[in-house]
Amino acid sequence: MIKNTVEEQSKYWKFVKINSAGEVQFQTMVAAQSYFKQQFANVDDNSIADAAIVRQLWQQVDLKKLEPALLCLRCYISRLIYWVCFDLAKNFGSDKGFTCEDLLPFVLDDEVLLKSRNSYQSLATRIIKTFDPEKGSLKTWVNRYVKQHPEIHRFLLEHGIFLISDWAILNDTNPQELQRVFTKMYQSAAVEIQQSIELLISYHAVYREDRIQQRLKGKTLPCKQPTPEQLKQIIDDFQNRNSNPLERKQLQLTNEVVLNKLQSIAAKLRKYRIAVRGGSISTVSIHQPEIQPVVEKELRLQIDTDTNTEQIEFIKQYQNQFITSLDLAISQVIEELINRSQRKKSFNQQAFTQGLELFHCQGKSMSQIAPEIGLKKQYEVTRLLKLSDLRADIRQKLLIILSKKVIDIAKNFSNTQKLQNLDKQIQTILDEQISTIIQEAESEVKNPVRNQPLKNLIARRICNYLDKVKD
Amino acid sequence: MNQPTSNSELTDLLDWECLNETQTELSPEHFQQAARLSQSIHFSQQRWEVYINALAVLGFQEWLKERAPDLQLQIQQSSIWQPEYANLLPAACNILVGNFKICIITGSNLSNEHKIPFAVFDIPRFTAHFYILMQVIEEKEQVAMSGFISYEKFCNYQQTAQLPIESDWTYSIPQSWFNPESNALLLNLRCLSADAIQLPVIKDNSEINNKALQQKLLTLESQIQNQNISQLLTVQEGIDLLNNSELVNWIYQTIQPSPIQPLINVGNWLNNKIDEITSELGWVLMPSLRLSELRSLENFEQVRTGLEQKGVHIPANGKGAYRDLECNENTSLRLYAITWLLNENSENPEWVLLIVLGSQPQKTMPETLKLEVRDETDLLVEQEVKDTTKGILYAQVVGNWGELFWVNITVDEDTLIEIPPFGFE
Repeated sequence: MIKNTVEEQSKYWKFVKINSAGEVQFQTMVAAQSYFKQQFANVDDNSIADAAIVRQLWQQVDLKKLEPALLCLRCYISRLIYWVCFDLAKNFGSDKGFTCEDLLPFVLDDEVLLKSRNSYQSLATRIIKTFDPEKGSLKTWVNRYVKQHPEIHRFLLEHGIFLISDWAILNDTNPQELQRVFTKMYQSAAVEIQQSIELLISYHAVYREDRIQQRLKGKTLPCKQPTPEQLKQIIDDFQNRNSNPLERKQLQLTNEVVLNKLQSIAAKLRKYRIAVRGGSISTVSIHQPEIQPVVEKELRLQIDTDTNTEQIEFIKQYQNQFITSLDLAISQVIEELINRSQRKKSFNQQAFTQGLELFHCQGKSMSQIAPEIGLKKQYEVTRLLKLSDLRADIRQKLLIILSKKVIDIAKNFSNTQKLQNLDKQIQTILDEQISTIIQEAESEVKNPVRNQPLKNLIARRICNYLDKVKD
Repeated sequence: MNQPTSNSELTDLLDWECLNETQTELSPEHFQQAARLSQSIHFSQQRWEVYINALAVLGFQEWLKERAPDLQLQIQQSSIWQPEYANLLPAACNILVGNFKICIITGSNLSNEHKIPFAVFDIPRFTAHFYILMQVIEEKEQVAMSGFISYEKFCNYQQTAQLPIESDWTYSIPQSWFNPESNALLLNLRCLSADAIQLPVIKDNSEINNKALQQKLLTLESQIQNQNISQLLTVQEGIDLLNNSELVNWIYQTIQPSPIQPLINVGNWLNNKIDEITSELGWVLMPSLRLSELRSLENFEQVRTGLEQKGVHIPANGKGAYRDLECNENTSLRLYAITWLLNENSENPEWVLLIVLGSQPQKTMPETLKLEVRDETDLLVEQEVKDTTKGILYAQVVGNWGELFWVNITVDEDTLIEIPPFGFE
């Protein structure tokens, strides 16, 4: 059981809100605090669980009045909302480039200090109105609401993160896959597997077809729970194909039974999807042990060739061609990129070149750059500049240019592994500080102590290019 | 304490799924295009897979246009847009990027093992320099490239792993075989020379004698409709089949579902009834055909007389219905269908269908008319009159229970009117 210390109990009187600067604040609600202490004074601090507290508060709530019990619940809800967003950001944010503060404004919209009642319903009010302690904890309730919040959905989907419905999972799964999962992960009985497969086939026959028909008409809808009509068709299809009258009697297929059965199949498949993702991408299915050594051998091979790279040797050899080709590649890639981006309304060329400059020539971070080019968030800068793609494009353009000048380099183009190694060598050269090898006058340029220009070669040449363009 | 340490029990973070940076959104037009293609796929199980694969192709095209517009992509000639092939092979073979052949395949969203049709690796006409694995999240209208593998690398892996061809004609290929770096794919497409990866030579298969396979397919004709073809043929037969475009076409034609058509059940007429479908189609039940009662029916007397002259007698227990047809601006027709039973009391009763073309009251008939009656396989009757004022056009056929007859009328040699089939149930 989860115990509450005094410190933890403060979530019932500290209201979480976003201030005008977009930061999270914890505001103590005195009325809530004194009410809470009075209500739960007789209870040992360490012995009462959240569920019991919530239940007691909830029983005393009168939604029409802004009274202390309601205030306590709203404080707690604001905390739960904060935690859900915090967890999302902790798990996906660094990878996908967003923070907890980016999510909170969508859902942390309760405003306790408002005296007048307007028609606007905050998420918190909606949660309290629908909450029923018999059906689940307030945590579950909040979690469900936040996860299903349309703005959160849209935001996360834009960042490549999404939840998938049971019905989409069933669409995604072929009978053979179902068979494999049910056999290997659940060791289900053969009869159950066979029945599930037959039901899935009937589901596909009805639901997938209807989905395609909707798409034909240009509709864009999430996969909704099958309608009673669809369920009836699924049952008909199932019974037509499994026409053993004895079995038919035993099954007693009603819409409700079929719906439950489909949901339970989807739940099992979902669990399996999660279990699979639990491993890293490179894990090989345990069912094919013979594959692992193959992959390992291949990986070792790659590492070996990597350590053997002699980038210094390489650059000495091709020094003359290298820098001029690099400069040419940089100018071509950036110009092409600007040209094609200009077709898009959202693209701001000035912000783009300025962002490139701030990053490469002044060494500023993405979050420092954002306000300077009129953007709000660090991830917006990341998306505008797309630096890793830019570097890859420059390297690849450089290779093409070099190959026309240096036969030795061109030789590598006829072998995927050699080409990849060459690309890696060049990447290393570009990413490292090799000013001792390539003498360049502009390296003497004086700069502010804090934000120094980046020392690596590619940054310096990009910077050099931007300087020239400016003139 | 304000910073929570772990609340994973709270958020079920595990439910969330991720796409990588190649994430591309599909438009409603993409969905329509893919959905339209899927409508020409006759194997119902395959239809969804082809739809998903087409979405993958369109998504890849969208991504490449955005990420690397310098690369020339040609998708039109891909096998996925050819229903005869897509019907058997849910993969987009023979796409071109510059000088490279690529094949777009769709993986499983369920596991990190992907069932890929063996044919894309093992049949030279479908092989590709690069196989691109796409992830399609249909519900969210998103696709992403989850990895790629070159033909050469596949062969290397396969030499050691010896993956078997599974019963559904696929290899189960682990995600780890695919390189997840989209920039590495671009490196190859932009820089690698086209001859760096040797593909097997495409042989001319026209010489190969496929008589045996052809025979086998003929005997399987009825099963092909309902069963997966991989359950009916061996892998080698599958290879021979996919190498032979005639047989591929034959399968496609064979499983073509006959369009679901309303049936005109003339059996009901004998009980003085007409079902809803038939009356919706415009059929009107005629009163009893006894001579004394026929006066009420304008024009039919003339038809009856015409038939009598040709020696066709409608028995007193016959029952009929008619339907008016507009032929063109000035002319019209009345199509009579009359039925009665033969050997009513024998073990194998038969029914007669008599089709007659007459005029509508006070209206003009077209000048020339042709009448055809077919059963499921053959043309049974073909009658033509060049001048409808001079002769009557009719056809009479006899059928068993469950037998269907199709009637076509050609007006003035250019307009074809197809009548939904007649049956006796």
